[in-house]
Amino acid sequence: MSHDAETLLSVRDLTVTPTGGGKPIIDGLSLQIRRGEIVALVGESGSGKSMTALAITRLLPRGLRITSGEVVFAGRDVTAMSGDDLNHLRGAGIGMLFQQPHAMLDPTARVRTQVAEPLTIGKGLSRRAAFARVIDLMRSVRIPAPEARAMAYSHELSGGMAQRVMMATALAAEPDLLIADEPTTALDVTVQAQILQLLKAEQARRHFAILLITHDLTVVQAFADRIAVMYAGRIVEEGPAARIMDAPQHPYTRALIRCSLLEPEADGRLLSIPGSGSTARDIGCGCRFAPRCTLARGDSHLHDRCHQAEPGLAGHDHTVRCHASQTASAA
Amino acid sequence: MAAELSLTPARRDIGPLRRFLATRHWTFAAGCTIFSIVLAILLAGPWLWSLDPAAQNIVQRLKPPSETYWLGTDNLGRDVFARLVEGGRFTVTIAAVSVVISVVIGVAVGILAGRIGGWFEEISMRLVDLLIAIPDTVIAIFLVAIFGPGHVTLIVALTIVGWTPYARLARGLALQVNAMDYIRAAEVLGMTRRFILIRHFLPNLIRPISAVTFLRFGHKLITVGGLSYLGLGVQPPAPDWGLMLAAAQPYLDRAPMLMIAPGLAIFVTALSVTWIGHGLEIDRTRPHN
Repeated sequence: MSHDAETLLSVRDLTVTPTGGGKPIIDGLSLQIRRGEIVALVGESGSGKSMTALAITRLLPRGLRITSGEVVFAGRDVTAMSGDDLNHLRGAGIGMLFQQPHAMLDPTARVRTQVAEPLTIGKGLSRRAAFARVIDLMRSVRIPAPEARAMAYSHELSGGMAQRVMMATALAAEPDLLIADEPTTALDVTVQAQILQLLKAEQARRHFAILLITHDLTVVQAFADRIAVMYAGRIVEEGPAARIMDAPQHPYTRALIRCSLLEPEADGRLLSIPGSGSTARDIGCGCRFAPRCTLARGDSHLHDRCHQAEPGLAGHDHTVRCHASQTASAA
Repeated sequence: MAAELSLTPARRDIGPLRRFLATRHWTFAAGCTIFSIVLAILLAGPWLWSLDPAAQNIVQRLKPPSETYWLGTDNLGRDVFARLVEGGRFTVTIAAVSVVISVVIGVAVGILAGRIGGWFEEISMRLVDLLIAIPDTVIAIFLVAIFGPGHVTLIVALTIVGWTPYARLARGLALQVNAMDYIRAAEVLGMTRRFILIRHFLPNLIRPISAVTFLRFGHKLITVGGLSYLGLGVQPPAPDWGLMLAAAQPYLDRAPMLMIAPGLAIFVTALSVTWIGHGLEIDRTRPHN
């Protein structure tokens, strides 16, 4: 993996473990994001996507800590940062959007007060100047009648509007990287598309990088430059978005794509991946997806291999962690 | 491209504070009105009625209410109304001062316990458990025995236990608010801890704490009256509602107003502040919230 000047965020062998001991939540995860690039981190609930985002900003909840690996953002090691540096990193370096925009807004403060916080506290603008910027920001995220909405409280906003406000707040700090953790999951479908289009438009205008965390591959297709698929705390496949969507190598990725497209099976039922991801961390050795994998079940030779040794991430530019596909490409 | 349709929110005709007040339960308005009247009388009383609360007139003792003596006179011929106003100033001030000190100490300890956690939380909350078990009357008797009766003793006695419910409440609220996503949102934006505390933490604690404060204020008024009644508070000849009640006992049959006036004063004042606290918490437009 190259460490060129274009690399904005480089996560290497990141491992997050509960403080009391136990199996890692995130296990040796590596991820690169270049400046201005949109990377999607995809996986099902409990795969460790959100915890990855929190680990990158050192905001892990009590009881979880980074046990090994490094997170280098713009040339500086985040895992070694002090409190002041972290405060500067959050907001100005890395902004975040979350799933529940309403809950992210303080019910006792007006919209403009909250959007202005990164401007007055982070950038030292006067209140008057900050409020003027707030109106501009709100206009740029297409909030109609921004002057009136700036005076509103969070309970007076719809979900989509609240997410736009959160976006304006994140953009106010002018981050180099925006981590969007399922930003549209709580919104209805028409609003989802609007928010994503808006996110992409702002990204094109301001050239920040985006790490989009989602479980919905249909969202990712038109949005991301690269896709990383996560399963049980590990990345199982990573590569350019078009190649992953057109020719997925890992059986988990394939299954995810089919689930997202809602393609019915031959018998008319919708596909569901058998088993549950929650048991995957109990596996001592072998591929974590093996118990749910159709390939491993179909071929007895492969079955033994998959249950005995975990495959490494192999490939160039498009990497995959699967014995079957590695055998196929070697043959 | 189609003409863009945008909905402009209606011009807000009332501000958030006015709207908040407009949606309160009727007890809030009633409590505020009664309490304001009581306060106005207590504050303006000495200037409006020139009778000296300490002036004795043995010829005019135990008189029923009249034009000169609005609520009659006591066993030493002192004007009951003048003494009621003077005594109320003591009672309400002592209750208010002890409540304010209790709130400040209790909220500070509670927030620290909730945010810092660890040994500080453990020690302070066990102290709360310990103190909350002791009735403030017992502490008052204990302190009076050491320091002698007086305002300061009374305030200290009420505060020693008085801060504990606020500490418990504030800790609970602190844990709750701490888990809120908007606190995380501020952390994500790189805001300092102190800024988050002042800007996002305290504003979300004020309402529940102020409601409880008014409720406890009413309770404190009654306690102050009770302690003075037992002779543990304000000492004669200085008047006090509880003291007046105690002094009225031998003359119940001859001058019932001596008992009714201070009793009613304590009742009405305590009721009004309790109503304020009650009404503050209830939004009448959302009855089941």
